[in-house]
Amino acid sequence: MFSIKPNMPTPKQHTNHATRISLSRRGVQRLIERNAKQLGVSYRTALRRVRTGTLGDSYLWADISMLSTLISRKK
Amino acid sequence: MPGLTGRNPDEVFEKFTTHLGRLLNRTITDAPLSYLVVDEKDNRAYVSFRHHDAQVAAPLFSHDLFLFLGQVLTVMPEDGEWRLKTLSYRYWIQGDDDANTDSWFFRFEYTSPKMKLMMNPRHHMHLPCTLRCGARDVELKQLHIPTGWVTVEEIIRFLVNELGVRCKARKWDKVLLESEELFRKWTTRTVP
Repeated sequence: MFSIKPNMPTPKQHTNHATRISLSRRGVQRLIERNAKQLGVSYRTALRRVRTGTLGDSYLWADISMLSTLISRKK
Repeated sequence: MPGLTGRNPDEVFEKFTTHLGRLLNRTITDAPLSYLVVDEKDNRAYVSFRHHDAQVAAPLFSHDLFLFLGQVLTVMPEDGEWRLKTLSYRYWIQGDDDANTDSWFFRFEYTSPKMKLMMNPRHHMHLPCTLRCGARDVELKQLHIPTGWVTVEEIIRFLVNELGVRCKARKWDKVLLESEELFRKWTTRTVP
């Protein structure tokens, strides 16, 4: 589902270099789905609440908001 | 003014995220910073603390506070260079790292009008308390309290100087000032 650059440190071995995580668009949608499931809502409901600005109070919602911005088709 | 340059957007994102990660690691947390890119959309990146592909709130050196940090960035070609633009940021100061609780104390947020038209102040903060305001009680977590552009450097200042978070760098203000100067060159934003 994701790839990390070879030779990049694991979180416990980090050396201050940024870790690159590359996902397909579908992979990002799966992350949103996973967050939505943890929050007890559907993928579609999660995106609707991002659009309407009616997010919840946990940072899973903030993550959904950022992930949806990442794959938004808006320029 | 020189922009942040690279042979491609990915190189720019790596340079930016590495700098930001080092700044955070020199000051308030050991957590490593990541940037997430979408294969077929190479002009955007989502910078955050992640464990593999899951978002996490980073533990701060004070051990009683955590920071959720997210920035969605893009790059624009300009005079043969790449210039960074911020599409969105979220900085949440938390009481724990549970992703599914409402244990936040401060939320600083921004979404570019290019991404979403909003009537509320674009740069704003939320607070989890109630304020008697005239004849009614106002839930401050529902209000978008206007702020200026909130930088990561200012978040670090707030955490260290106001909330007493332990900072690794003794001359932390000098470290932050140098970072602000660098970001001023890299981005289109005005750093106060």
